[in-house]
Amino acid sequence: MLSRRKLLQGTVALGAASALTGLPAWAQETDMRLFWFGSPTRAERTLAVAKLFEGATPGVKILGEVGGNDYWSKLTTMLAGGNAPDVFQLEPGRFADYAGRGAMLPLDDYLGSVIRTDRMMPDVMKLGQVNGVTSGVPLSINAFALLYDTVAFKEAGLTPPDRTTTWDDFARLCVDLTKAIGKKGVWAVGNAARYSHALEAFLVQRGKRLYGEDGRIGFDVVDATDWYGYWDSLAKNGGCVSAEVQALDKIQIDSNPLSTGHAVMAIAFSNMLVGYQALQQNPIGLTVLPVADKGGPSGLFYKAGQQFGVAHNTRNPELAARFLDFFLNDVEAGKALGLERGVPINLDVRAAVKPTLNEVELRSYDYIAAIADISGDYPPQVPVGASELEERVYRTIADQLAFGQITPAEAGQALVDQANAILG
Amino acid sequence: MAVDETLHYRAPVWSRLRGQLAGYGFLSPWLIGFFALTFGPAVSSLYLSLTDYSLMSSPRWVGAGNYVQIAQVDPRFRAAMNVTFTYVLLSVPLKLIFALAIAVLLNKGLKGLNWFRAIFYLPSLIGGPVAIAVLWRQVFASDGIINQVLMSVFGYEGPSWIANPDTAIYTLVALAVWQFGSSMIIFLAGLRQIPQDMYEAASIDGASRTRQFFKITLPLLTPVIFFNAVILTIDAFKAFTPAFVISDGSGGPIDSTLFYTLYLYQEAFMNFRFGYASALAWVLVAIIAGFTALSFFSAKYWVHYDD
Repeated sequence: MLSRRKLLQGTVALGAASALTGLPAWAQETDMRLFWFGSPTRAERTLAVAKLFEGATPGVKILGEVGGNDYWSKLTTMLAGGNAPDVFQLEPGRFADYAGRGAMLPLDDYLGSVIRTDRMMPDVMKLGQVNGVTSGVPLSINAFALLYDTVAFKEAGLTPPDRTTTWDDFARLCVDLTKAIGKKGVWAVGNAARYSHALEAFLVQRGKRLYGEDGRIGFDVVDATDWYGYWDSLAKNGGCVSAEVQALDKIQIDSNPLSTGHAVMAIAFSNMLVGYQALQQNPIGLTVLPVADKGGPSGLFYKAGQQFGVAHNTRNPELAARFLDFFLNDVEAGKALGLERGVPINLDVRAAVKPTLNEVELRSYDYIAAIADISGDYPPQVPVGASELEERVYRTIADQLAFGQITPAEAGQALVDQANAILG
Repeated sequence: MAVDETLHYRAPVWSRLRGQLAGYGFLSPWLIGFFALTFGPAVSSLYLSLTDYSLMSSPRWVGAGNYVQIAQVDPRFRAAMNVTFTYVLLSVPLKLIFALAIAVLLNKGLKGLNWFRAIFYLPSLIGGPVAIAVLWRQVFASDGIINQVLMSVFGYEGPSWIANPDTAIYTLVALAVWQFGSSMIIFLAGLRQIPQDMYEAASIDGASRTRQFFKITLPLLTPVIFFNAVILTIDAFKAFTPAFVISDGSGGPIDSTLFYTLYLYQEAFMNFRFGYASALAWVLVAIIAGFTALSFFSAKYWVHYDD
């Protein structure tokens, strides 16, 4: 029988063991953790690449984890706790917030050797740099695009916007289209005053930037006031959705007014076409954004779809770099991924993927090719603090404007003031 | 003699110590949990609240800097306080009244009492999880049930309750009040404790039902009301999930559902200000402690203890 002393010793030993054991017993040298967020389709495709990599690299096991709404807080907690996944996904708007705080391992030593870059789009690795250090790699590219319901335009007898459509034309079109639809609670387009990506295109067309090289905002109060004034008057003329509809948009595909049935156009990204189309009966068309002047800059440029970073304290940097190389440069991996995160950055992979695409994906693919002649330079890296602007400044100010709490001029001033306060 | 005495004296100490050790051994799962998971983090959060700490870099000492910023310059702190106090001051009394009213009704010896009790308790059981907050979002949406009822019964076109910054917080208050079940159960238990002969004596003296309620039921129930009020107040200050789910973590529209804890969460996990968020947490602890102390102090004047 168990004596009291034995039991006591056992309990203490067990307690000590659970307190002291830092490493789980199953973590072997060749395990690699991979963490990302996104749809079940993305998970399927990403895990397929992980399987291919395991096949090509015997003895390596990739443990995939998918995050949901809590992705960023989970990632932050794991990084702070020193148990971050070896490779994790980031998005351009938050990339510098993690890179600038030293979360990621600099990859410059691996670029061009372990991570081959010879068949990649020129300069595309700049999309993973912060302050000249390569902190991650872009997984794909995409671009701003105007998505529209082709049937709604046909029924209204109106022509969708094209390269010659100015913002003023677009405003008239939206008012006409809303009238032509003639349904209560349905407008032409969402109120894009909230979207920093739409503002960015608007600014680039004026020769400005959303963020400058110096890590501060690249525009002034006049630009911001013009921007808010445009959407304020469009809302008042009934060309874009009401404040209450717009306030429910979480800036995700399924919450966009186009997807909720309150609008027939959306200012979004080219790779999202597949996601938007999945929620629509009618075919969704893809075109460029309106411009400031006919023949002027398009405001478009290639953006990183998503990025992968390698944890600063990964136990096997070499293996992580090899995985990134495989993810970006392997043709079979590229085929498994398709266009889910955007168009591949390796030109060979891109060519190999094309025949595997369905009709919807092909529209997104062709759009990226079609805008090659009007795409501008890569923008400067989004600065540290930008995610805070995304979380609580752009949306809040646009909502205050839409609900009539402030004027466009006050909104413009507020945006500049708050952005300066956060970006320093 | 002297030697004997020491021996006599030592033996019980050793055995008492052994007994205590065994006790601590059995307690150790809880003790380890408490020190490793509650007390330790609390102490380090107190330290972090005096630093500037962002994720990877080591904490930088700033003294009372975070607290000064909270008190003097943070507009969102004020917004969060506004939202939280509105929520607490509305949801707690409403929930108490609701729970008490239902408990009194159920205490009348209704047929199928257990059945009703279970039904009324159900929202509290299932109320915590995300699914209910999602449901709530549907109920109060512009084309949700509430507006459909308003439209068909009154011909009134209701706003989108959740999307409108003027009404969003009240949907959260309603959600809280709806989950009155656990307070109700406690009230029911309290009502059962009140001796029947008091009511008999009162009705012989000709006291009306209303008078009986205010002169017997309510005074004798004050300890239970007090208990419920304190628990509900603390819970309301700590509320997080409903606002997080309904506003998708943003506290919007326009910070109108920015609960204090949600703001704290945003500062830590979205804006990487762990030091500042820790300071916010300690301010919340102070506020809750203050409120609780106030309740206990005021209890002297209105809570009636039988003994």
